[in-house]
Parts: sequence; C-alpha cells; structure tokens
Amino acid sequence: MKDKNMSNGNIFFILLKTRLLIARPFFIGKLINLSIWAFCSLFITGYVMQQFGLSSGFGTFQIAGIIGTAALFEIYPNVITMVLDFASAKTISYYLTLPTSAWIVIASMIIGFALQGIGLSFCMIPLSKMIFLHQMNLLRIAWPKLIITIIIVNLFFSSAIPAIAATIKSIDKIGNTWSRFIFPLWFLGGFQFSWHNIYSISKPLAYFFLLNPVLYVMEALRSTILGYEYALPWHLCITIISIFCIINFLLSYRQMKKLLDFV
Amino acid sequence: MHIPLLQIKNLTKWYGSKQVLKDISLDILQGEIISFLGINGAGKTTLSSIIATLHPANSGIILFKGKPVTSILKEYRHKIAFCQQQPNLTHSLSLEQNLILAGSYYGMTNTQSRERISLLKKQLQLTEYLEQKVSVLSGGFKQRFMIARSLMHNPELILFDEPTVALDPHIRRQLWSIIKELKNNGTTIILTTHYLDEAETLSDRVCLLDKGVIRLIDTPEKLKQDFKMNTLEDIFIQLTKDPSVEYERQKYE
Repeated sequence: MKDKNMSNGNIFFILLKTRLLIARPFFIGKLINLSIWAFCSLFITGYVMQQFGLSSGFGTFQIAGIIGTAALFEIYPNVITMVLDFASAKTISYYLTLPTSAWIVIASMIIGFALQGIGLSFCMIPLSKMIFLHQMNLLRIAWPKLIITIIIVNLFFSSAIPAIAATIKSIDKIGNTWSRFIFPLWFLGGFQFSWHNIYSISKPLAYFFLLNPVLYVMEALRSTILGYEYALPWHLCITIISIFCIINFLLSYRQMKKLLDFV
Repeated sequence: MHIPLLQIKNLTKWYGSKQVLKDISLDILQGEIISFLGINGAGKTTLSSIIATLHPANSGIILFKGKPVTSILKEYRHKIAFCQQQPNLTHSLSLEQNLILAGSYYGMTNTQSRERISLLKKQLQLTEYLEQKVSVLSGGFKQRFMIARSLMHNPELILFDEPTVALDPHIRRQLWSIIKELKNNGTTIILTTHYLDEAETLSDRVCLLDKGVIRLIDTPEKLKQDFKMNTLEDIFIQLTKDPSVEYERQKYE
C-alpha cells in the first residue's frame, strides 16, 4: 500500500474534485436564488418598464448583463466562505501542507469557483429564452465565442475571490467591500447600458468607464449575443479580461501569502 | 533510535517586529516521541508549523535525512503529516469522503484508501460515523478523524499540535494509546502539548520552549532526577514562572 509521488497536475485535479464535491450540494439552491433574481429583473425590464417608455428591446439587451452578473454574484458567497475559513475552520491550512505547491492549491480553488459560475451562467440562457420566447433569437448568438466568453468571465471573477477574501480578513467588513467596491463596478460596468450609450452622452466619461474591467465583461457578452454594432470588439474585451485574470491570480497569491504566511 | 530523522539548525521566526523563535536548534530522532512544552506564546505551534512546512522560517534550515526540506518539499510532505489543533476537516463532505480524498492527495487509489480506512476505523473506533458529516461529531471523534486523516498515507513523521486539548480524560487516554501504538510501529512523533502528564507519559524526550528559546531538552526521567522533582509539572512551573530558579536553570544548562 505504498503511495506513489503525485504530479502537481494530479493533485490539482483531486483538489478540483474536492472543490466540486463541496459545491455540489449548494448548486441547486444557488441556481434557484439566481433564477428568481434573473426572472424578476428580465420580466420587469422586458415587459413592465415598456409602459414607462423603455425600448421594447431592452429586455433582450439586458440578457448579457444577467449572464455576466450570474458570474459576479458568485463572488460574495465565496468570499464569505473563505473569510470564515480563514477565521475559524482553517481547512486551507490542511491543503497548504499537501505535497504540492501553494500555486496549485490556489489555482484549484479559483477554477473550482469558476466551474460553479460557468454552470450558473449557462443556466441563464434557457431561462432568458423562456422569458423572451419570441424576442430572443438563439441563432443570432455566436455560440463558440459565447462559450469562450463565459469561461473567461467566470475565471476573471473567480480569480478575484481569494484576493478579496485575504484582503478584507474580517467578515464584518464584507458589506463594505460589496457596497463600496463590487456594487459600483458592477452597476457602472454596463449591466444596463452599453459603452456606446455612454459614448453618445459624453466621450470623456466613456473613456473613463474603460478603466472598469466589468465593462469589458458585459461588452464581450453583449457582442456575442447581440452583435458588434451594440458593443466593443470582442477580441479587445477578451484580451483585457484575460489580462485582468492574470493580475487577479497574482494578487490572490500575494494577498493569501501575506495573510497565511505559507511556504 | 539515535539516528536523527530531522535536524533543525538555527531556526528563527519573526511575526512583524516580534521574534517568536530565536535560533532554535535540535535533532528529532527516528522513532521517538518528542514533546514541545511551553506556556502560550512560547513558540511551540510556530515551531511545529515550520517543521510541517505550513509556514516558512526567516532563517535557519531543517534537514530531513540530511537533505534540506525546502529542496525536497514535495517528497518531504509525502512523508510527514500535520495533525493540527483545529479540527479542519471539510464540513460539507462525509468523513469517509474526507479520508478517501486525503489518501488521493498522496497518490493512493480508491481501493488502497478503502483498505486503509477499514484498518483505521477499527483502530480508532470510527465505524459508526464514517457516513456522517463532520458537524455531528463530538470533539473527541473529530480529533480521532483528524488523526485518521493524518495516518491515511502512512507517514514516517507525525506532528500533533495539542491533540487532546479540551477532551474528556478518558478520550485523552484513548488517544494516548493510539499515539503509543504509532510509536511502536516505528513512526516518529512530535507532540505539542500543554498537558505535562501527557508529555511525561508519552515522551521519550521533552523540549521546553520559553519565549522562543529552547530552555532544555532531555528525557522526563533525567529532568526529574536533575531537578530533584517528582513531576515534569513541578519543573515546568519553576522554569517558566519563578525567577528565583534562574540560577538553577543556568547551572543545569
């Protein structure tokens, strides 16, 4: 029964399996919560707000925002879970003594979070189609690009989770992080408007908005669902989001090392 | 018995401006049980964590069978286990899942893990809880599962960080017999504890840490003889509390 030395790749996949086993019992609950929010949001903007002069196409326009938000909304519960673990259970201390590097442990956490988010994001597509049965044209969607976008977008948000959790340290401060940081980035990140809308109002403001990485998320999704005429070029958005993924990952490693002082 | 498994040389550790370990040097011998004793903040857990490679030292070196652990990190981690004070099992998984995954991290197949679990569940009396989640367990059983998880990959060296803290006396005794059995099977054990009776009963040697410095290392019998005291507790209290024994301490050192 002598064990063999494992490669980092093998341990990575077992750690990922652990993450998914941990997440599995909560997935349906998360999906229900998100579906309720998405349904209310799409129904009101797609059908009710038209009575107040909103364009009839606004509901379908917002689908990209809903898919992007599904990924973003995963940040909050996962940050709470991580902060609680840092403070009490400390399961992270066990993983950091396994025969692999801390990079692998952190990467497996990020990919694990991302896979949950990807699952939730994809579930928003049939839900949106059910709400906008005739307005939403599935044939118009650039599916390969949409799949790539959803994967990269979820990696982007997930890679920020350890960085945020290790930075705020205390669960008491999670509300501040949401209200002062994540919410403005999300709401000013094109959830309900495109960059071209802002550009038509104010060019300087539009260029300022380009500093917000969430804007590229929403624009990338919108360009795959609605086409380029409504959004920034897809390649540009994906490149910038990928760069932010790398930055987030490095930041996560640095902040966790600072907090946990691991080898 | 006298072959050093682990050689710790001039280890120092700082947390901010506070130095918690000051130039620690000691050898851990193959097959022994060595206990780290000391009051809170003495540096016991920090030293254990550094030996377990959870935290890095600021300076100094640890050699495992003559090789620096930092240069053989994966290999070293394969051969050790760190049973931490906090029962940090994964709560949303069953205890059996926790153990199977623990085996997987060390390259064990599911079949190997199940064989190992069937052995450990008898040894540690875990059978009735295997399918349960961590939350249903009492403190004593959590600790047993922590030990079981540490033993899954059959390590050569186990670090127990206060394994019996806050446990009932009879459960403590049960865990003592498990630790003794491990030693009898050739496992080297580093035990961090506040309980001096535990250290006295289990240890081949005790190492007293005080403010990040090793005050003394020896067998419990030798210490009692040298200090002319009946228990380790008497020696400990004098060395850590009473300044008047400073002279005696220096004489001993």
